[in-house]
Amino acid sequence: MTMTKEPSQEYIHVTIDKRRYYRWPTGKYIGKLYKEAKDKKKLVTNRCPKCKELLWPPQAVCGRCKVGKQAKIGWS
Amino acid sequence: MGHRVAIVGVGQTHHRAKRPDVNMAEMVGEAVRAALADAQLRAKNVEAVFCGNMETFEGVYLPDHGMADEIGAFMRPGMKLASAGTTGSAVFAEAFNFVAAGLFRTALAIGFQKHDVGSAQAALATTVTPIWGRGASSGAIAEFAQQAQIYMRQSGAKEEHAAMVRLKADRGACRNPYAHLRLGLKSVDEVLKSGYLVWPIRLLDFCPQSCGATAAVIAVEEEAKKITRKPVWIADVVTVHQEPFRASSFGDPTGRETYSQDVAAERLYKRNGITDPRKDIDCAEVYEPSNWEEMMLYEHFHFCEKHKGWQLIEKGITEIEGEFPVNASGGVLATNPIGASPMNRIVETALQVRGDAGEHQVTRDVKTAVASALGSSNWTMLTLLKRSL
Repeated sequence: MTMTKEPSQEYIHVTIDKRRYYRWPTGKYIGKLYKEAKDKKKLVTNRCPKCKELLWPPQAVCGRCKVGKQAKIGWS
Repeated sequence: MGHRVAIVGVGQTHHRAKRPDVNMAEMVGEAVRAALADAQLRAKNVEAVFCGNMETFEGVYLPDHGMADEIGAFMRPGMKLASAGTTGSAVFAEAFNFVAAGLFRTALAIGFQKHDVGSAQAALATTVTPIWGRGASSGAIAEFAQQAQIYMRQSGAKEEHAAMVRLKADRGACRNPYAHLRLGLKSVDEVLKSGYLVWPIRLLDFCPQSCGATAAVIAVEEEAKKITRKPVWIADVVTVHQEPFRASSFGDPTGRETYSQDVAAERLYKRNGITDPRKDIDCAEVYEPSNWEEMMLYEHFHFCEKHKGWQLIEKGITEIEGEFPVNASGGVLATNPIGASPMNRIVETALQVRGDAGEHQVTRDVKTAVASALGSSNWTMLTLLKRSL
């Protein structure tokens, strides 16, 4: 193995002045949360149909119960 | 069960804040050569190469570009993996799984990060998914500060205890020639003099950003016995997934979340017949980006009862000479090349099992050791190593 000694070389500095753009769909569930918040100033989310726990953020599947969106979505 | 697999060679670079003397491939090459030399093998003897690094932290995608020759991967099978904090242990587990499945007889696992060429905090705070994670992501320090605040309130730990964790880490690091931060701290007051980053996290409560690489050569039983007289057997690897930005890992004020650390520890202990971790395991290397995290991990991994983690530090139980040594190497607090940090935990425990840790070899005879990692989507990974299976 090479022992590292005092820095013997210089860094090359490069600045990339470029803006980063995002264009992402919010999806059905988080989309509804955002829409309700914007239009009605209400925070909403859905419950797992099996364990009844509130899911946050709202989403199709409850990770614990592995229950998917085929079940009816209950919004609270 | 698959084939029995052992670590037959380990190597790491001398970790530093800056490495302008080498480029990325050259730095990784140092660790690879060290691991091959330790195993007394040539690159041609290794059948597959697995490489891990957390992308974007160097400001580029695929930092492993231009590295295949240097790491011996040219025309070889293998993969590249990125899973944030767990990268080093995930790439090790990946290599282990392939060898245990009988696809390769020998493999090289590599973790690396060169923090001096980009900004990890900028990557953490700005390149999360814009729909949900963006608002919740504040970089690592604020998240660990929130966790520390909750821990203080729930357990009664004081800032002095966090300072004691740094002192312990620093004592280890000063005895570890590969460690990055070797500060020679003498007292709790010295640590408490360092400024706050985000209350209650002080500068000395947090891990550095290091440049470094770590590599390990693993082999199936038959090869391992030919290669070395001191194989370190990989008894088990556990991976548990969570979601990012949930309460767990960074503190859970609601008390309703499931910690991936708890589930990982329970699964590892159950599968390996470990009933009393402090007796059945001889030493541990845990992944502790902050002083507070180390005390919490003691509790999650059942090294002590809930809310008693700070007492282990106060009593000196987890010191190098202590009854149950934790992070004798100085840990992540002293050395943090993110993509390599979890593999450092595995490599350091392997050295402890071999009895080759040198000045920071723990007093207790290490037959069984555990290494942990935390990262990505709140994953917890645990690797159990043994002197004999």
